Amino acid sequence: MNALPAGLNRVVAFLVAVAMIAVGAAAIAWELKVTWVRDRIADIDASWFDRAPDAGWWVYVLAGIAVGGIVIGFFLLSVNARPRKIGDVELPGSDNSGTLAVSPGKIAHAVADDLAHHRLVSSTRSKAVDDRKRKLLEITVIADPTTSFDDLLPVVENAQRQIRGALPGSDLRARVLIHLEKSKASAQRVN
Amino acid sequence: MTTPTPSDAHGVPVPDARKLKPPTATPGSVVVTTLFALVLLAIAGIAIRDFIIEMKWISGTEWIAAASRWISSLSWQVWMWPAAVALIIVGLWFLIVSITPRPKTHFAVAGAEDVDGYSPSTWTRRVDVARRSSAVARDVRDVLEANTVVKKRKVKVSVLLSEDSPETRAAITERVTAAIAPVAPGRTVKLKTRVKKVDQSVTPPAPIARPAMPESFAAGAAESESDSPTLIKEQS
Repeated sequence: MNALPAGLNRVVAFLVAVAMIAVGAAAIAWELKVTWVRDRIADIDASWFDRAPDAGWWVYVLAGIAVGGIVIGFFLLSVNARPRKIGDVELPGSDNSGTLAVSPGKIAHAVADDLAHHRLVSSTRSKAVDDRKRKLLEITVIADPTTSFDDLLPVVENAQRQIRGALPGSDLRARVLIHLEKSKASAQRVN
Repeated sequence: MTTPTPSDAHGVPVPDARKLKPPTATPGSVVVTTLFALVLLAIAGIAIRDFIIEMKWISGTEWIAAASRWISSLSWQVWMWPAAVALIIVGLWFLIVSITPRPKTHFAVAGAEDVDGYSPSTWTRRVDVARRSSAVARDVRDVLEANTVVKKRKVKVSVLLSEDSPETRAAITERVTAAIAPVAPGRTVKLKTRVKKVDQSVTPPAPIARPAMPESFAAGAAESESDSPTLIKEQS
């Protein structure tokens, strides 16, 4: 997730948290007869809440709540649901006469598919993502825990060299994640 | 010390190259924001319903209007204690979530090649180092079970042995250290062993050789044995 949506999520979570703490603390302070809180609550015209639904503008308030809730709600959902896809990558050979471009996702899929056929690799996953303003081909290599890292690393590095060789001068980089399968014989914990 | 200039495999400079960051988990604040968005949509749904009632297209009681009137006559009630405390606790939890850095899910593999000459490109998880360590330990003779806990500086391997010996311990430590060296060379391997206890009740008694009897004595014994059966007590 990039910095902007991550920051927006943090701000929203912070504001929601502060609002919840303020309401909870104000309620307790009211019951404990804290003078400052009682004075502030006394300043609020409680009868206004009783009169408001009968006012002529109430229907506009309802419309505002509906529109505002839908717009903000869907916006916040879209911020988190939006896939971090990256656009096509321009290949060497592109010039004024034409552009050669390739989908990064297809490159990632091709490399992952090639890796998956290696005898040391059980399976692979791949995706092209924009992670904190880094364009990445993320390939997850899953192997059996009996496979040595010494044997696996050259296989992975070879795939990375192929990616770099295919995209000279591009800021698209490979990020390979090595995962080992869970052994049925035992469980592992990480602290 | 100079910072290497980012360049690709062919030495072509990559102007926009930035140092890769470790893979991280989705921030916890995403969950809070998503929940908040769903609450907003639910409120919007209620507002639409109330709007339709207000326009007299359908009949019913307006919920938001009822809530507003309820606020006007609000007084302290017993249930507000747990509600207020719950609001504060959940609010504090959301506050912590909003400021906590997103957890790193992987660490850079020490022995792998770099990208552009300075960014780590290959990553793995501590649980994978644990799985590899356990697999290596299980291959050592006399090891029945192996579990591994990988910490920041240590790799703690717990093994169940059929028979304990200094050679077995040394072999496990040596092999695990060698196995994780390509990815996590700085970690020290700590070994904890247990020996499987053999249940005595299921162990058959050691055979006892019966001395050969003289032929004449054996014939007499056989005769008396037929008259009164002898109770043979099982040795434990």
